Amino acid sequence: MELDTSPQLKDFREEARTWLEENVPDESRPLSSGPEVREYDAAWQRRQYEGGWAGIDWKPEYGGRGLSLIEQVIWYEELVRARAPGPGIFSVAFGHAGPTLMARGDERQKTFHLPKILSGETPWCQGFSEPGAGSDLAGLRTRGVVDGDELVITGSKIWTSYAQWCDYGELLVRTDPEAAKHKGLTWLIMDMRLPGVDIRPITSIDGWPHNCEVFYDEVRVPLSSVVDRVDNGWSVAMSTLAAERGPGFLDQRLQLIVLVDELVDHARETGLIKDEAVADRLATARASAAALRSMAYYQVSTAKKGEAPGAETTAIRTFTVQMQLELTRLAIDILGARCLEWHPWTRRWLLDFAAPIAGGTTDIQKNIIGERVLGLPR
Amino acid sequence: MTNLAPSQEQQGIAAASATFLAEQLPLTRVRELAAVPGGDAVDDATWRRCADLGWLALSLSEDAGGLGLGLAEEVMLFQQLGRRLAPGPFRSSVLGARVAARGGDAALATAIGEGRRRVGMRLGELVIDARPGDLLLELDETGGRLHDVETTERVEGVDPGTRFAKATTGAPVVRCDDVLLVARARVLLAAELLGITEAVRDMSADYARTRVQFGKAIGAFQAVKHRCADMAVAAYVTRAQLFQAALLVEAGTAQADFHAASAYLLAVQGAKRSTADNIQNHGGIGYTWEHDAHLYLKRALLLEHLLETSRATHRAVLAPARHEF
Repeated sequence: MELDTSPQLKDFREEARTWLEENVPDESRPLSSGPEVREYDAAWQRRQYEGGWAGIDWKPEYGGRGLSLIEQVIWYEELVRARAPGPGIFSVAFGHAGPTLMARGDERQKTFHLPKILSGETPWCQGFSEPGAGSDLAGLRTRGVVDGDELVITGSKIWTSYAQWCDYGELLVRTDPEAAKHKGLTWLIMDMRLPGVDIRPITSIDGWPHNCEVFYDEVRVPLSSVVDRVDNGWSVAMSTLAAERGPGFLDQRLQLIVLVDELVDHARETGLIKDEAVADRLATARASAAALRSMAYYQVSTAKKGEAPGAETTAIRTFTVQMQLELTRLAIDILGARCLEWHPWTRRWLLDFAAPIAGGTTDIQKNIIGERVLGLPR
Repeated sequence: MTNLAPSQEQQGIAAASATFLAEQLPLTRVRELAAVPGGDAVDDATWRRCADLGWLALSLSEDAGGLGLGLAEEVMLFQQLGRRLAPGPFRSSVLGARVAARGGDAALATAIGEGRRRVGMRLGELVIDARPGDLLLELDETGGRLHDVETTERVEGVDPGTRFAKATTGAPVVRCDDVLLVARARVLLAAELLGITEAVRDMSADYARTRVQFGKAIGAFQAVKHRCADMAVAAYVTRAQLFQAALLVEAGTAQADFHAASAYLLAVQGAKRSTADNIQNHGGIGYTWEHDAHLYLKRALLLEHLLETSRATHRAVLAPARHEF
């Protein structure tokens, strides 16, 4: 344990802070379901890329800045501090696809895709879940049949976020139906514009089309789209999910700090902070928000070089989800009847019902902690 | 970026103290000591041995007879003291030595550090772990004071590892103005609470792996498994925030108070729930005097109430206008 005193990192933070002060867009993200969503997210991503702030810890040969995870964490903190927009429809490209390609992709896949992700050219979506395969992901049935130098994909995926705006998808399909459940799967790069791909947006609880159902009808993709090997997709998917456990989504977690501060401000202005019950809950939320940062530092400090984050870091997501639900419900309670007028906090509260479900339910996360960290039986 | 991984030396402090406590102060010994009517929480010989290991003087400067280390090292020790439910006035003696040293009485600081003087602590109308001739620590937002304890009258308390009494004291012997002393106390208490959460997490997981009902180990049932997982989550969260707070308090940064209060708040919540859930995980046996589960519950209860009201902690957490990066 040691407090950071490095002047280089202090300079880096100052530099980031200055750039953000001048470059964070004034207008907020459009709430429409049209192409302007992609335009907004892409423009912000491009601006960061041109300023030299995209892919801080990605290698320079792929368009990154080639610094360490530590600088990446500082950048995330400064983004949050500056109230900058999040990655929006680029979140899968940054948090999943990029890290997975870096870990498991071939050179051609890396040089083609990674710079396009960083420059805001190509957003990605994730096609893992299916109507019959949610928590039990390995039970997925979308088929991939090898035909010459192509794979022919047939089936359907669901909860594919932002598919309507995305160019590529990370797709997990069953290529060997005879093999055991976790074997015989393949992870591939799907071009979402190919013929036979039918994307149908699903309106979520907040009235906005966050997710899609996507149908694949004999879609032919070249075998060169397969990441790693045919039938080895489960292990590739596990690197994807490990990236999700890592600090990749830290900026989105740290956003909660901003929401807590907004709530504290509001409670101060309205005098609600004098209500002991409100003050108790706010204090818990704020302490938890501080812990989100500390956990990121702890995770980065204890990470073993070159190894995927351990199962114990699942605790971070479990805690974040729990805190998030308590926080957005507190926002509703603070608003009182005003919450009925589609206040931004109301939207946020509704949206957060996805938090303990998306990317693995809290129930499954707790099983993972129980079994892999504490050694409890399955 | 701040490095929150304990160094090898820091891990060494934890390992050495765990070994000593397992050998010299196991829970069976704590129960023996508690059964002696009017007896001390810990005997003088053991107390002096702990002092000889440097436990009371880790963060004292070398000219006050200390080791010149910091709060991070104390956290490693106190985590183990919490985990093993060590009896005796460790936290108040460590803080008391600091008050003496910073209040200008290096000789008294040395005496406390060497285990020749013990320091008890005020707890509302009562005092804990203070005998006539000991010192008594009084702590508030402005700093700390040490008084001589004149007389004590024993009061039965709920935690078997802690002695409760009514006491009369003299005028302050030494005082030190230090607005971060409470933050330092919160960090030490949070470390003990983390040790407790880790102890009951492991106790519950061990039991859930071996206790068989309906033909399988009860840890296979999600209701039990998830309670154990919640303990692991609480420990992870508390540890990260505690280590962060320890460094910031030691450095005396502007955010120290906020981070220390946050660590304490999370530590209290984690230990409160984990010690209660641990009893549920054990079923009937967890409810008995014979089983150790209640000892953790009661120590956590003490640590939750030891410093001040929870409201003061909440105030410290809510004090900054916004979270500073």
